[in-house]
Amino acid sequence: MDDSLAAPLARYLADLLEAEGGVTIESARRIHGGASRETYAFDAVFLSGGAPHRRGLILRRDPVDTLIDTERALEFAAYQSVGAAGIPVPRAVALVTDPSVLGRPFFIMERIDGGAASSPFAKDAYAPHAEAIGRAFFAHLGRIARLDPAGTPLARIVDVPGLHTCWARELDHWERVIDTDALEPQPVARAAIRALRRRPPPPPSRLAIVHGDYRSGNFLHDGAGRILGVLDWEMAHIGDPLEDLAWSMDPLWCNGRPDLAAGLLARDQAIHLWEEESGRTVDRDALAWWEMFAHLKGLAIWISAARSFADGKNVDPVLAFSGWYCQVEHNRLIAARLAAEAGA
Amino acid sequence: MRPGVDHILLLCAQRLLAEVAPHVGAPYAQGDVGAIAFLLMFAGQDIDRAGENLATDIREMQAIFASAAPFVAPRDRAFADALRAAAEEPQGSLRLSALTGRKCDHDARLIELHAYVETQDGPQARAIERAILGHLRDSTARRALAMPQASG
Repeated sequence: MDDSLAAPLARYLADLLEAEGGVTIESARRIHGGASRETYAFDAVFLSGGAPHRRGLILRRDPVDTLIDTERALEFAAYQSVGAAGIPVPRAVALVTDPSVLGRPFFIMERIDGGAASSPFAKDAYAPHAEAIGRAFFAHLGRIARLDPAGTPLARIVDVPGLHTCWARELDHWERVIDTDALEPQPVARAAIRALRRRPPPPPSRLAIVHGDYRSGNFLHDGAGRILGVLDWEMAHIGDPLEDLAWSMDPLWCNGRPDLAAGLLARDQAIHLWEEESGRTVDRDALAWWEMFAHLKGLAIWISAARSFADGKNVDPVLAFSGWYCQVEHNRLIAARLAAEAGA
Repeated sequence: MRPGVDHILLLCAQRLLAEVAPHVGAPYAQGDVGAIAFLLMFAGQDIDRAGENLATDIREMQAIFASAAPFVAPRDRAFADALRAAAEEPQGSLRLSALTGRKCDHDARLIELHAYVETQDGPQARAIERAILGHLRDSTARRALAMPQASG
């Protein structure tokens, strides 16, 4: 973190933390991963009430090319919504939508120390604790699905769909992303969109908070089988909780174990755990629809990544990786599924 | 050329991962080096097969267009003529950029044909649909990339 960011951040934190004599930013480092966001870990060192303090914090800021302050507000509200219900997430500290403070909207949250996020592509990343992690992973997801979104901070800032329109709203959104960002014709994506529209899923029994990107790699674990925090809520919304369950089991992030849900648990065991914790019953046809949708949503995200990289808006190599490897994989998964369904 | 480009890219990627990345101080830059090494490995996997994959895609789509044209003709003469013309298009340049351009043109036509036959009844329509989906399945499978083992 260079001084052009650290200095105004320190000034902002001095007020926020009621520091005496200012705040010093120490051990600041940018965290690698989702190139769509700038994420920094740092220590805020200060005096308060005459006593020295050191707080481990995270700064999340939009990059230059996506100046949409509602995205920060949305993620912040999601952390507030599920944190209050006991889902392990970093505590939300402050949201600043005024771009004059750090150039762009941002928010601050507490850092969870002692944990690591594993790559979703590393084989056996959670061994020898994969089963324990898997049980926690699907249990937490079930608990998120059990929450009543009504009255939560998230419900106050996002559109709340009807039970019968969850699927269409999501499909419309990601189709628009493909329409806008595709650099070349997408025969697989177009076929999937038409197939999904021909056979809509049944509605959920009730709405839920949907994480939007609940998968291997988006949680911190302690290396001993415990999940310390569920991260990356920037795509959170309210909708059908099967969207998250399907996304979590997408083979792209199975850590080299496509035979296991999320590379962690047998599929039936994962679904059973989710049902127990959510108090819901999984309709297998509906889940199949959301699994195809998950492939398509992934494809749309990778198409956008490729567009950002090709346009030079964001040349982080992670975007080239996503736009290539992940796009190939989701195209392959969709095409194989459609061909099998048609008896091709 | 020896060593082949695929070999050169693979060795460069391995060197980046083993010799360069550990000496990069900033964690974010270290992550960038790893991602770039993966991209080099993917390029190494793709470079030998890219031309053949594109040419095979074009050939398969031209065969689908040729077989679909008689089915389409009684319903939409102009579209059938466009399919026949695409089916008979000569090969042209073998440069990857030229092949990619032709594949994109055919992909756009394939989307149109696929959406069209989905609205039609009968065994011929279903057979064309299966041919299209079989092509898409095979085309995407040909592009699968082996993931180098990342650290956890």
